[in-house]
Amino acid sequence: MICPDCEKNEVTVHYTEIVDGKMVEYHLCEDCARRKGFALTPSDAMAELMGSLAAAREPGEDEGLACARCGLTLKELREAGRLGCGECYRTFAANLAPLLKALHQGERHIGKSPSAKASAARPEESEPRPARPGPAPEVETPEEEIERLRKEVGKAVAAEDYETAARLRDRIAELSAGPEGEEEPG
Amino acid sequence: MMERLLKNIAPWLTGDGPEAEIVFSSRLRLARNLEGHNFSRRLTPDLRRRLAGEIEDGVRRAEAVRDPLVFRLEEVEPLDRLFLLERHLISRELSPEGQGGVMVGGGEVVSLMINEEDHIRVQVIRSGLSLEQAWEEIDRVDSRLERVLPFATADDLGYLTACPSNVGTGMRASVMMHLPGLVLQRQIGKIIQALGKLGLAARGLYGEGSPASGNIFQVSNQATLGKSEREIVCDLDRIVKKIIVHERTSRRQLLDRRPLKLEDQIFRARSILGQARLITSEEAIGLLSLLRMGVDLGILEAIPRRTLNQIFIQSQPAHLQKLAGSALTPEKRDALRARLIRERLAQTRKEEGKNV
Repeated sequence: MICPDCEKNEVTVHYTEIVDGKMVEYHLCEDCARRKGFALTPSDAMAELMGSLAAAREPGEDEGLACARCGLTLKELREAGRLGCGECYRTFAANLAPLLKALHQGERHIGKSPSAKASAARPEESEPRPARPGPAPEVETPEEEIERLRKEVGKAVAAEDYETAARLRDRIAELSAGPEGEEEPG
Repeated sequence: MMERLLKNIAPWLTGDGPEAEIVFSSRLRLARNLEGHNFSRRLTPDLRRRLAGEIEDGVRRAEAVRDPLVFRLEEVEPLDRLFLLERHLISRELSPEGQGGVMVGGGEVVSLMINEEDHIRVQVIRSGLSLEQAWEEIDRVDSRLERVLPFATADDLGYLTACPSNVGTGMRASVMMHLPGLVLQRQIGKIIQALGKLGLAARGLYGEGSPASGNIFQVSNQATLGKSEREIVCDLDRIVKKIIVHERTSRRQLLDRRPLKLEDQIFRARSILGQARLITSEEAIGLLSLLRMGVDLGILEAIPRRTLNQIFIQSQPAHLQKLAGSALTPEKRDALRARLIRERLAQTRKEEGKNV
């Protein structure tokens, strides 16, 4: 169904109003609904989900809870389904936990490591051991190391640091060659 | 600036990626927020404007987006905003009131929304089923950004996002698929249900809440926490390949069981598209779907997929009006759309004739 107002967008907002005892229905696209001043809560599905999870909890003392950094209250969080800042994740940790569990497939992030900032450890500044740039995990198989080094090469090339890139490539070659090549002093 | 895009054929529309018969495009997006700032909706307009400036600056310094075109929605006409939406460069939620903006890389492969619900949303679109390649590309862009713009993260929760449904990797991977066989065989409901159980969602052409016009579906991951980016990409890739098998089976069954009925529908679509003087986008999209399937099945003469994709994109309302160079009434739009489709199809026929 195309919005009767702008005749452009798909209808996504259905709004019923009672005026003088008569029911008036509106079917509009989101843009037109906004323009006409209908209050749209940003997200619907998420807010609903939060509401339903909130209902499952005991109405407790945390009702007055607010984020110390951005001021978002628990009530606002439930209505909008959106957090106000990064700190909110800590402030509302207990309230968010069941939601995160329902939404996701685990409770811990296991993807790309955000802290692996390229500038954290440049090879020049670290020990003179060849090719151990970047914070490496404690135990790393050669395959994992190759994988990591390949990424580092990409980063080095992107930063036009060809010297480092060349060194990393040598190390990858060593690792690919087998155990004999390992830990050879450069 | 918009004109540069209008003339450009986005690489994801070339229709030459893997599995391009059924898969239009693979898209990845990463949600990122800067450390030390409230999320966009919790900032005043002035602060959002300032933040947008900082981000634009950072993106340039990081050289994360090649040769970017920058659009600030406060300075963009409503028609142009719709145009960007039709090209999948912005979302519906990106608004002028929210000081939203977008940086579009040369070639429209990489783009970056600013001040959607998250400060930054990076996107990479590729033709066909190429999620792996898209991941490598977006990972590179993200790593460059990270060096210049410090992102809000937590050890246990990864990248912090405005909506808890994105926290962790902040990654949404989605594949746009053409599934007329499954729709005609009434198998699509079952597939969508099964996808839900696998932690995937199927949506219409323009994302959440939009109907699946033209038998086009976007399949995407739901979970962003507890799975790595590579796992998300591999799982989606594996399941999309299964859907492709089902779609092929359904098409074959249609062809085996009711060949005449199917041919009739396809040839009718061909005739209407080739002759109509007025056509709405809804009707066009449905008929183009049949036409495409007819070509895929060898029932119709070959029309390059690139041409079909282009007709598909250009017959959308904002694209037509940009082509016309002015706003058009709905009827004039329908007339122009019909003409554009007629001419494009006649052109491919002529070229076909020359080749024979």
